Amino acid sequence: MAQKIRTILRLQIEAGKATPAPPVGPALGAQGLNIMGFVKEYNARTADKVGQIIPVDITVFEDNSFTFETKSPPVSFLIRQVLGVEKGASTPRTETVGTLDPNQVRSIAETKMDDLNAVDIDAAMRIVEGTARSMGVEIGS
Amino acid sequence: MNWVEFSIEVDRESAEAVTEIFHRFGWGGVAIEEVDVGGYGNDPEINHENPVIVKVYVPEDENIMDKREHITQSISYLSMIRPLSNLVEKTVPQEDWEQSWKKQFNVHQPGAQTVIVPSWQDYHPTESEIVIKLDPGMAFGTGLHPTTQLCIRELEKWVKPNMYLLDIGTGSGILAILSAKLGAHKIVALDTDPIAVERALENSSMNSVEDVIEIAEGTLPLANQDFLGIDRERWASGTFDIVVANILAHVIAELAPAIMTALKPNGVAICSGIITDGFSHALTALTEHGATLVDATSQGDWRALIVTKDS
Repeated sequence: MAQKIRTILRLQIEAGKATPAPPVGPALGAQGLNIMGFVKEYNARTADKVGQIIPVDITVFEDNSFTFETKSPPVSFLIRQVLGVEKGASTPRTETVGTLDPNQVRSIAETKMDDLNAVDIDAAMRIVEGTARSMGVEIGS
Repeated sequence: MNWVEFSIEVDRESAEAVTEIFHRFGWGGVAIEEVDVGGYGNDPEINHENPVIVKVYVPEDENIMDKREHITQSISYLSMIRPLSNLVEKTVPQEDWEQSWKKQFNVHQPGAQTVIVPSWQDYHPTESEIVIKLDPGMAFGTGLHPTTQLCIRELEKWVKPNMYLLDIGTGSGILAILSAKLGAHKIVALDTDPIAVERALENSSMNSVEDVIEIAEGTLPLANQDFLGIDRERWASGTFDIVVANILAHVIAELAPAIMTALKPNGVAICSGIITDGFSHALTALTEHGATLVDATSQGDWRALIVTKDS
């Protein structure tokens, strides 16, 4: 079928637990998409990953049909995993929860390279560094 | 209970960081909207210079003041590292999202006889109307798009009882279902997307035409199984009275030899999904393989080609 793309929605939601409540309902509803069709399919496809945030890219076509693809967990999840911390700092400017060295930054950037839509690895590393700082994670030299 | 939506337009390098903040204080997850996307199928065209809009929702309850402060403060901290645009806040009334999206998809009549009816609506057709029950979902072909509408109108004109029909890129199965309801004897419906195949099977069953349509994953020149009781080496060769292909101009051009081979002499191919500037490319490919142009129709920027196979 001639699937002309109208837009792309990206959601970061918990695997296996999508519901029509926000952010799914307002985001898909604004596009006139079949919300329960998405919820059932997403939950079925991510049932084995409950407890993780599994991002999903929803490609919306001009006739209100859509398709979606699940992605690897977000950068913040990978940073917390590497550092072994449960959450970021509540006041990131004054509180530090850990330090990432450049190799760890590069490794996370390489893992997420495709999902981040970054133009090159340097741009992907800047995204990882920016996310880290916003969580109260320092970047070592 | 209402919701407060916080949104911010950011460049791609800041999006992950903002998302992380929103996850910490928001409810249920985060939504990121692309701005100005183009392209087709699995091949989106995204301008990486364009910003994205990141959104999060917070229930408007007794904790809203705290949450608002945390979000505002964290965004303010982040803006010291990277320049950010203003955080925008708006109230979103609670609604029954499970049902409310359905308001955007109603009974519609894309052809002279064909009426598309969502499964949740009752409809009493006139004698001349053909009803297709269909819900929009994860397969193209809801009847709302010009390319599908062009095909519907041509099928209404060309399909006669006892014909054999091939639907390439069936999507939701809408064109195969219509052909069955117009009296086609047997229909083969193919799609390369396994999800589309699942939906087409469900939709043909919902419309009680599953006995007439064989649906499978694949494309021309040879799919991976036998159809209509014919050996797969032979089924694609001169079997069909009508081939309908609602795909894209360059795919039609690639498949032109196989489409023309699949048609019986004097058979008709309805090729849609053609943006105006791909018209001559598709037509040239078809005529090089024994097609004669019978008609060309258009709706908006989209065109359909109707050709016959020279006898």
